[in-house]
Amino acid sequence: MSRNFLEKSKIYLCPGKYCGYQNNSTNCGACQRGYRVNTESICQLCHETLSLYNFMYIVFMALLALSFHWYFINRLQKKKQREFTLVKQTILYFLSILEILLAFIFTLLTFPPIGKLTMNVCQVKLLSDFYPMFHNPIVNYRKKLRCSYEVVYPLQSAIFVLYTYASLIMLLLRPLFVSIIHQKFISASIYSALHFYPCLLILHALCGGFIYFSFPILTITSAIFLNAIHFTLIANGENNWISFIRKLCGNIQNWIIYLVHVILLLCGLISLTQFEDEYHLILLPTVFLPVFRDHLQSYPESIVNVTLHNVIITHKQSDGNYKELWIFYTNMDAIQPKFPMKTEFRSQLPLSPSMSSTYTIIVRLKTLETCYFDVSVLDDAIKLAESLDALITYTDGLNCDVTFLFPFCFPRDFEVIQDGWTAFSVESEFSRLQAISDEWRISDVNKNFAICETYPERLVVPKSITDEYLKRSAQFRSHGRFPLLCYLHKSSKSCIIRCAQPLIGSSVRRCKEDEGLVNAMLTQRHKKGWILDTRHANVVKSAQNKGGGCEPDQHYALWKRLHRHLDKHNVLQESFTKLMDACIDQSEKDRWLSKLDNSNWLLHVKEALTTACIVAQTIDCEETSVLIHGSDGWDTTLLVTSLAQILLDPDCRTITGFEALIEREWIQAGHPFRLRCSRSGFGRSTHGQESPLFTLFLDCTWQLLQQFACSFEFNDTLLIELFQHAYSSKFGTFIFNNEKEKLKYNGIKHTVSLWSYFNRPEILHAFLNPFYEPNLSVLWPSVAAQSIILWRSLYLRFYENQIPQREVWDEYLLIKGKEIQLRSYVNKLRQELLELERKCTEKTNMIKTEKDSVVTI
Amino acid sequence: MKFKHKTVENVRLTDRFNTRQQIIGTIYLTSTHLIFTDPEGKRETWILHSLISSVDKLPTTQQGCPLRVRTKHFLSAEFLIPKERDCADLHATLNQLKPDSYEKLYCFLYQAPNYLEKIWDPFLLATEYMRMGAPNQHWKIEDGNSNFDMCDTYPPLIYVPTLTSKAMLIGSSKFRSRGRLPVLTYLHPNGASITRCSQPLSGFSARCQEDEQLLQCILKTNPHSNTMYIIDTRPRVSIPIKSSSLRINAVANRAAGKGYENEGYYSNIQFKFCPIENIHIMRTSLQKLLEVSDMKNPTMNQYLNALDSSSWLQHIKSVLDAAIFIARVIDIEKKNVLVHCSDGWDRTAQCCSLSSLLLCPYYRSIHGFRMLIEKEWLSFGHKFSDRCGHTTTSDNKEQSPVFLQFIEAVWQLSQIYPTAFEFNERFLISLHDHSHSCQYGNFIGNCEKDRLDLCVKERTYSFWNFILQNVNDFKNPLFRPQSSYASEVLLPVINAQTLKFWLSMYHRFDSALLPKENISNTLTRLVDHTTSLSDHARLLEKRIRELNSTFDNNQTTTTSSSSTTTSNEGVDDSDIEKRNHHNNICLPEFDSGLSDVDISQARITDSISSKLNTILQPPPSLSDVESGFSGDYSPHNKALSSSFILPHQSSIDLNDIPTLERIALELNSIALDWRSYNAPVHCACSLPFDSAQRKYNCWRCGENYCTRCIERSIHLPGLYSNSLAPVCKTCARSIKSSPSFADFSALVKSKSTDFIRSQTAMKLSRSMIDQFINDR
Repeated sequence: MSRNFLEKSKIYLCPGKYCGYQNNSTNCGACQRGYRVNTESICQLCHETLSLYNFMYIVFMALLALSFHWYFINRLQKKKQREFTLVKQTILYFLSILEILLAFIFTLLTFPPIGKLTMNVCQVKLLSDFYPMFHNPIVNYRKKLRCSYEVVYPLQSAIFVLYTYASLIMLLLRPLFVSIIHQKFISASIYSALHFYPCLLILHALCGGFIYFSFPILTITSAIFLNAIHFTLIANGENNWISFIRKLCGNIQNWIIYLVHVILLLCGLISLTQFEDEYHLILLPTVFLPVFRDHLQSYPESIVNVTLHNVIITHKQSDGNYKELWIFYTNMDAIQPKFPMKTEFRSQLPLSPSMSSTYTIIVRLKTLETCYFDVSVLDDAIKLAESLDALITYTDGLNCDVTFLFPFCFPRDFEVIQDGWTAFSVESEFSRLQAISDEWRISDVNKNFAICETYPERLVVPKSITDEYLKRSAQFRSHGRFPLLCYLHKSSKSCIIRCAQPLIGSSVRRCKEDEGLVNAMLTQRHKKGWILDTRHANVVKSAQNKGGGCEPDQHYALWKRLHRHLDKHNVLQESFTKLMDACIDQSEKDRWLSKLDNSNWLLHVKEALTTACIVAQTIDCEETSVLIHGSDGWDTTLLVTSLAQILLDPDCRTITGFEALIEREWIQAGHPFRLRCSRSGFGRSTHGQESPLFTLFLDCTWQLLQQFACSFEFNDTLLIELFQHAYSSKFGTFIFNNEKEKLKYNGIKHTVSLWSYFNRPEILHAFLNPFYEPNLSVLWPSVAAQSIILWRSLYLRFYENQIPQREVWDEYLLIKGKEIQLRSYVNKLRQELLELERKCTEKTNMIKTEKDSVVTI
Repeated sequence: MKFKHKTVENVRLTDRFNTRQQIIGTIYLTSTHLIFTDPEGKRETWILHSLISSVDKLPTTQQGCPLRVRTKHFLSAEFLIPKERDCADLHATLNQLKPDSYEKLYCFLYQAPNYLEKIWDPFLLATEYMRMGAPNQHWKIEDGNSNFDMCDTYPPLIYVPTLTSKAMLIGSSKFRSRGRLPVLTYLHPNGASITRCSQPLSGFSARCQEDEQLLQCILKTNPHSNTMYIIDTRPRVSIPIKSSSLRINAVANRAAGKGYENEGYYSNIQFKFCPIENIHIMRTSLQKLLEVSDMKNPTMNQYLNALDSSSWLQHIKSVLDAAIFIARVIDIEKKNVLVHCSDGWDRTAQCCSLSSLLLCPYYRSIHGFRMLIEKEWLSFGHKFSDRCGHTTTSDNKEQSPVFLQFIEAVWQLSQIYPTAFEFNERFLISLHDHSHSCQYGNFIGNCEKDRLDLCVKERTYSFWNFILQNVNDFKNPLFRPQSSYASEVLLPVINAQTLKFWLSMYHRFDSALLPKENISNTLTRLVDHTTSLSDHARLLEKRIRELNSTFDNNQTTTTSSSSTTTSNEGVDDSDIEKRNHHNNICLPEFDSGLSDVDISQARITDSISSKLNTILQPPPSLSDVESGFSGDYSPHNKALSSSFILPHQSSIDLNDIPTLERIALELNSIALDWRSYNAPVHCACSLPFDSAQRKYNCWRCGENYCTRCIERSIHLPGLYSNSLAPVCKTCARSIKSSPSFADFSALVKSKSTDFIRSQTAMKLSRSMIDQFINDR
C-alpha cells in the first residue's frame, strides 16, 4: 500500500516498439488507426491537440507544393513571354495559393474532430515513429509480428490527403481558368503539377520522418540560400548599391519574392523554437545489469529503462517472472550521484553490495523514499544521472507543460463507481448549508473566472449581497479573492470566512462594498467578529508598503483583529528539508533530538494547531465569526480554516467529509499544488514557490488522529496516501494550481480524479478505522509541546521496520471483527432460543394437562 | 510517628498545564498516605508516603504558602496552603516520614485486601535453569555459596562449567570485586551462554590463574566457537598520555582496584566495550529529564532542547545497543559472552536481562518476565533499596534509576514490537512503582541475603501475587503468540530516531497531555466484551440443545437424544482443551448454517456446537484467563480452579428444564452492547473520567464505571463458565434481589462452596487497586 512504485501485475509487455494490446484483445498486434501504443503496451486513442510544430509541418508540406507550383508557373513565363502577361501570371499565382489553402482547410476539416479546424494527433516521439514497418519484431526468431500502422497519425496521412485535395482542386480550377482566357499553354502548369505531386508523395512516403524533424532548418537554410541567389540574380551586372536597390524596389515581383523569403525564414524560426524534443534529454535509454536497491530490497541484474515519464526497472524475481518498478520523474526529488564511492560512505548504506567499483546514484523521491542505482560503468552512470537530472528539471519547471505529465497519459484501469470530479459540487455543499441557514445563495459572478482566477466558477455568497458588490470587493482584495464563507457552525451559526489581504496600501484605501460584504456575514446574535491575520504585525506593515495590508480598525468597527504568525514558503520548506535531513541521518555522531529541534517542524505543527484551536474556540465558545486571511489567502489561511473545520465539524472526520474538505478548502480554494509540491524534503528549491503546507496540514490532522483515535473514520493510511498523491500521482486531482488551470487543460476529461480511485470499496477498506465511533462534539486537542509528536509512520516509514506495525493493524481488525461477529451470533442465538422456548412451553403445557410431572427448578 | 496536623483545609491544588484552574480541597494525612480530596470534582489524590521523593517549600506568595510534593512515580503536585504554619508543619512532618530502617518499611505494615494472601509462590532458580537446559554436560550446580560465604550478593546456588573445581571458583571470587565471580545467567538453545561477573581486581598487573582457568572453562562449554567475548559495559577509560597529572590519576584509579582483564593474560578472548555511563551520570540525567516535565508550558524548542540535553534517551539507547550486541553475538556468532561492569549489579543486570529478553521469547510473557526479574535483578543482587532510596540509611548518591532504565528499555522494545510482549504498559509502570513503593516485599533490601534476614516471605505480600490476581489488567491485548516476533529472537535496528519519549510514564498524572482517546483501553474493552459474549453464547447454545432434547423427548419419548447431547458436550470440552493448547483462532461465517432451524434440530445443534468450538477461543473452565479474573500462572490458583471444574461442569443438570423466567434472567444478565469508553464524561458516582483512567464496563448493563463502582462478586446467570464477572453496584443489587437469582445462587452455592471464598476475595480487589496503587 505504502509503496510508491507502481508495481505491475501484468508482466508481459508486447515485443517491439509499436505492438500493443487493442481494447480487450489479449494478442499483441498493430493498433487501430488513430490509436497509438503507450508505455504499458495498450493502444490508446490519440487525443492531443495539434501543436504548433505539427501545424507548421503541414504548412511546410503545403508550401513545398506551392513552391513547385510557382516554379513551374515561372517557367511558363520564360517560354511564352509575350502572351503570358503579368496579370495572368499573378492570377495563376493566386490560384495556386487558393488551391493549396483550400486543400489545407479541407484536410484539417476531414480529420477528427471532423468539421473543426484542428486535428487530434498522436505525439511524435522518435524518427522511427514514421517508419514502424522497420520495427516489426520477430518473435522467437520465427514469426514476424506485423505491427505497422500509422503511428504518427494523422501527420503522415494528412499530407497524402492534402496533396490529393490540392490536385483535385487544381484539376477543377485551372481548366476553368484556361477555358476563360483561352490560352492553352497555361495547361502546361497543370501537367507539370500532375507530375510533381506523385513525386512529392513518394518523397514524403520515404523521407517524411526526416522532413518532419528537419523542416525548420530546411526552411531557414533554403530561405537564406534562395534569397541570396535571388539577390545575386538581381545584382547581376550592377556595380553599386543604389542601382541594386533601385532594381530591387522597382520590380514588384522582386519585392514579393523577397517578402516570401522573409516569411519563410520567420516560419522556420518559429518552428525551430517549437521543436520540443524531450528525447534529447535522455542520454542513455537503457542501462543493463545495474543493481537497483531501495531500503528494503536489492534487485540485482535489473534493467533500467529511461522513458519519458518514468524510469522502469525490470528485475527478475526468484520465481523467474519479471517484475517492473516504475519511478516517475515527478516523484523524483533529488539525484545525488556518488562516484567514486568512498568506503566510509558505503558502510552507511543499507544492503550495500560487496562490489568494489560501483558508481551509485542516489535518488531521493518526493514520497520520502530513497533508492540507489549501482552502475558498474562510470560512463553509463554519468549519462544516467544526467538524463535523470535533466528530466526532473524538465517535468518540474515553472513553465512545464501540464499535459506532458503522467496523469494525462494514465489510462483508467478501474471501474469508476462515483466520479470524483463531480462528487463534491457546490450544490451539494450548498444544500448542506441550506439546512442550517437560508441566508445564502449560489452566485455565478465568477463565470469564466472573471473576477477571481483562483476561485471556482460558482460560489456561495450571502443572499443580501449583489454580484456588483462582490465585483467591487474583489477589486479591493489581493488576486480578487474576496471574503468567502467556508464553514457555518451548526449550533452558534457563526462562520469561518477566508479571503486575501485587502489592498489598502500605505494610503489606507477603503472599500464600502467590502466592508458591507464582511459585515453581512456576521451572525444576527453576536454582531462582532474576529479578524485573524496569519502574519506578524511587522509583516503586515511591510506588506502595506507594497499595497497590501490588514483591515484597519476604524473601517471595520465590528471586528477585532488578531495576529498569529504562521511561517510559509521557504521558511517552511527549509524546515521540512531539515527534518528529512535529520530523519535520514543514521550516523551516531549528530544528535537526533537537537537536529529535530533545529528543524522547527514540530514548532510549525504546534503553531498551526494552536491557531486552529483559537479559531475553534472563538466559533464554538464565544459564538463569534472569524475572518481569516494571510497575504494571498491560499496558503496558511487554508491550513487554519481546514484544521478548524476538522475540530468543529464531525462530518469532516469521516472519509467522504475529509475528501470534501480537501476538495473544498484546498483544491477549489486555489492552493497552487503543482508549485507547492514540486519539491519535497530533499530537493533544492528551483522557483521559490515550493512549500510543504499540505504536508503540514496532514501532519496536524495526524496529531489530532493520534489524540482522538476513535473520532476519525479514517486511519493514517489515508493521510499517507494523500501525502504521496499530492507529490506524485497518476491522478489529476493535485496537478493543477487552481480551477481555471484545470478547465484550461481540460483536466476533467483527460485525467482521472483521485477520489474516483479512493471511493471504491476495495481501496476504501484499507482506510477505515476499526475503532471509529462518531463523536459529535468539538475536539479540544492538547497543543502542549509534549503532546506534539513526530509522525513516524510517514517520515520514518522507509527507515524503520514496518512489519510489526502492520501486524498491530491486523490484530486490531481481528479483535474488532471478532467482537462484531460474536455480537451478531449471540443475537441470533437469543432469538432462536426464545423461539424454541415458546414452542417448548406450548408443548409442556400440553403435556402438563395430560401428565402432572414436569421437572422444574 | 506523631502528626501535628491531620487535616489541612482550604488547600489549592494548581494544575500545571492550566494555571487558571485551581482546585480547592482538603489534605488528610494518614499513617500511610497523603490524601487530597476535592469535594467539587469528587477527585481524590492519594500519595503513598514511601513514594514521596521530595517535599519543597517554595517562596510564600500572597495567596498562601506553596508546597511542592514530588514522588518517585513522577507525580508533582503543588499545594497552596493558606497558613504558613500549616505549611511548615506539613513540610516537617512529611520530611520525617521517611523510614530510617528496614523494619519501618511500608510492606511490614501493609494489610492487603483479603484476596491477597501472604503466600509466596516459591521461586526456584533451579526450575528456571532447568528450563534453559542447565545443568547439562557443560554446566553444573555449585552449592559453594549456600551460606553466602563465597559471595554474599549471589544466590545460594550458582551455575558454573562442569570442568571447574571449587578451588578455582574460590580463587576467582577473590580476584573479582565483591567476590562476584563469573556465573551462568542465560543459556541459549544453540549452546552459547551469557555469564556475568564483576570487574577483576587487576590493579596494575595482578593476574589470577584461577580466574583465567575459569574463563577457559566457560569458553569450552560452547562447542560451536573457540573464542568468546568479554563485554565491559563501562565507557573505556582512555589514558591521556600528554597530561602527566591525568595519567597519575588513571593509574591511581587502577591501583584502587578498578580494572579490566589484561588482554595479554587471557587467550582466545575478544574484548568489547559497550559504553554505558555510571549511576551518577544516570541520576543527573533523570533529574534533567524531570526538569523537562516540570516545565510549565514550554515552547517546542525549549522542550526538545531540554530533552536533548538530558540525554536520557541516549543512555537508554546505549543500554539497548549493548543488549542487542550481546544478543547478536549469542544468536548469530554463537559465541559465549561474559558481561561485567564495575560491581556487576547495575549495568550488567540491565544488559543481561535485556539480551535475554531479546533472545528468549519466554521472557516476553508475564510469567517469563517475572522469572527474568527474579533471576537477573533479585537473585543476582541488584541493590534495590539503595538505588530506589527506600530508607534514609542509604546514601543519596547511591540512588540511581537503573531499574527504571531497564523498564523503559523494555517499553521501547514493546513500542517497536507491539505484538511480541504479553504484558502491557500498565504492567511495566506498576512494576516500576512497586519497586519504589515498598508495598510488597519483593524489592526490599539489596540482595537475596537481606531479604532472607528480614524474613520478607513470611511477613509481607508478594507483588507477583498481586499481578496474577489482576492479570487481565496487565495483559497486552495485541499479544500474538503465533507471530514471529513473539516466538523468535528479536534483533531490532535501533537508531536515535527509534526511541520515543515515554509520555505515559513521566506524564501519567498530566491527563491533559495524554491522548484523549486511548486505543489500548478500547482494545481491552473489546477483548473483554468478546469474552463475555462468547461465554454467553456457550450458555445459549447449551440451552438450545437442552430445549431441543426436551422437545424431542416429549415428542418421541425416547431417551437417546439426551445421551447424544451429553456426549456432544464431552467432545466440546476435549476440543476446547485442545484448542487451549494451540491458540489458533479462526472465525467462520455464522450466517450460513443457522437459517434451517426448523428443519432438523439435531443437525443444527451439532452445527452450532461445532461452530462454537471454532469460534470460542476461551474454554468454559475457570482456568481460563481471558474470561476470568484469576491467573493461571500461579500454581496455587490453578489448584483452586481445578477443584471447581468438576462440580461446575455438572452444576446445571441436563434434567433442569429451564423455565421462561430462568431464561429471561439469563438473557437479561448479559449486555449485548457495551458503551464505548469515549462517550461518557463521568462515572455514575460523578467521578470525572479522564483518558488515562482505567474504566470498566458492567457486564450486565454495559455502562461505564470507575474502579470503585464496579463489583466483581457476581456470578452472572448468563455465563456458561460461571465465573465471576464485573458488575456495577446497581446491577449487583438488582440481580441479588431478583427471586430467581436466589435459586440460581443457591444452586451454585450448593455445588461449590469454594466459590464463595473467592467471591468475597474478589469483592475488594478492584476498589483497592486504585486506592493504593494508581493514587487517584
